[in-house]
Amino acid sequence: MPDIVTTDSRVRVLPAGPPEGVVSLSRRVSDLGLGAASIGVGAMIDAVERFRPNGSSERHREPTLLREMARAATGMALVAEERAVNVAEAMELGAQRAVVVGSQMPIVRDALVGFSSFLGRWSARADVEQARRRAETTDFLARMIPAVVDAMIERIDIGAVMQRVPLAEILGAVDIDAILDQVDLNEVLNHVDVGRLLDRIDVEQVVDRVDANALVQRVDVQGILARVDMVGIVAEVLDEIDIGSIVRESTGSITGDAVDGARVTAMRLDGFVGRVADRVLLRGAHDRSGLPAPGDGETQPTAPSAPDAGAHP
Amino acid sequence: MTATRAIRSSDAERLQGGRAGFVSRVAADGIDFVVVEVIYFGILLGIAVVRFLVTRHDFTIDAPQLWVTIIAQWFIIVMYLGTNWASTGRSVGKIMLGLQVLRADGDGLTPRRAFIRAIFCATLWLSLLWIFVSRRNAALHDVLLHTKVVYSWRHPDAPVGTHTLSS
Repeated sequence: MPDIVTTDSRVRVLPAGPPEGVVSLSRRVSDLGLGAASIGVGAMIDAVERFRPNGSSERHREPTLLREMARAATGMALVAEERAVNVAEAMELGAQRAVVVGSQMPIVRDALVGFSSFLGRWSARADVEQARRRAETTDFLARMIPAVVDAMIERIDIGAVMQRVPLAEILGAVDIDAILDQVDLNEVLNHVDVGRLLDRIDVEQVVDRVDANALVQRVDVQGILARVDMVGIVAEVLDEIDIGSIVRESTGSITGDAVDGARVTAMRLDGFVGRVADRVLLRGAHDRSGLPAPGDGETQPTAPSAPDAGAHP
Repeated sequence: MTATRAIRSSDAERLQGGRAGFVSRVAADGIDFVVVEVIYFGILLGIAVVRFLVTRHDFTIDAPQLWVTIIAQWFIIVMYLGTNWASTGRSVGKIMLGLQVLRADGDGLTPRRAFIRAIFCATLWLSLLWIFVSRRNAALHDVLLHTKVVYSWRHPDAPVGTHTLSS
């Protein structure tokens, strides 16, 4: 059953069983303090050993002695702490029981209640004050820490630090593939504004820096051509061009010209032979073609006229 | 064949429809004679192939006796020229020389006149020499059958005098 302690302003419920009293808190604090003290002493002894000037062998043994002393002091402090805490615990239990018993008696209860309200007022004021100081301290730290860090960074030789960092080993231990497997690149790319990125790139400058010849030399043209369906492309082109009609036209024109040449030659020989025959037969020159003379256009409207009709008299 | 092409030579253009002279006609007849020889050789070849397939003897092309050759070629000439002149007025040789056989009045030959002319030409081919005597380049068979051979390069079926030179 929890006990109920009433104050003037609130009701506080205490849990059953051994209360989380001042003693257990102080035990944790002293444990931590002793641990911290032990670590601090160890570090100090290390510092003494490390920065000890090169002296005699007698001084060289001192740290061992120091260390023994520190450990012995730690042991004694632990025992003392244990006993002091035990005593304090017993006293706290007794006080708690006294309060419990006292709260059951009318007069004492009134006194306890008054005392409790007195404690409540002061603890409330302490809370307020503590909050104010915490705020001030936080503000102070917020201003001080950057200054301190800046000062530290100024004094640190980053180059020297980086030289001491085994970057190769670190990078060798990193499994980039595993990291990339966990990264959703599509999600990342969704956040990238490619348009703005491209606006910031000076393409001309990039192109100037590209060695186009080297690039072309690395291109496997034969491989590309092997993958291209040249036969299909050529067939398509030939379908579009209609080579047949071109060949027909050109060869037809050539053979036609040759045939016409032979015909003209035969025609002229006809005229020549005809004139020779007429001369042999003692005839006057006349036209054997049966066509009307150039001047007879009225009677034969379809007769073609030619300026060089004299070739066939 | 060349019906749509323009005639470039002005001489040739002027003489379209005019009676053809001795050289053109002899050249055309020479080409036709080569064609007839090819036909005759083809017939002999065909006979040899058939005989080889039927009798199982060695494949040989026998040269027929001279009178057989003369008669056979005379018959081929008549059939070849007669059919050509009856249809378009042109044989292969006349197509190549741009000539056409027409009636004296400019119409095409009837089959009867075409075959009579072919028989005449095949039998009395020397009648062609009458061209020299004639004032209008007419051979003897032209005079007898009232036909003429004209220059006609482009329009094979157009009657003389109405042809157009180019379209």
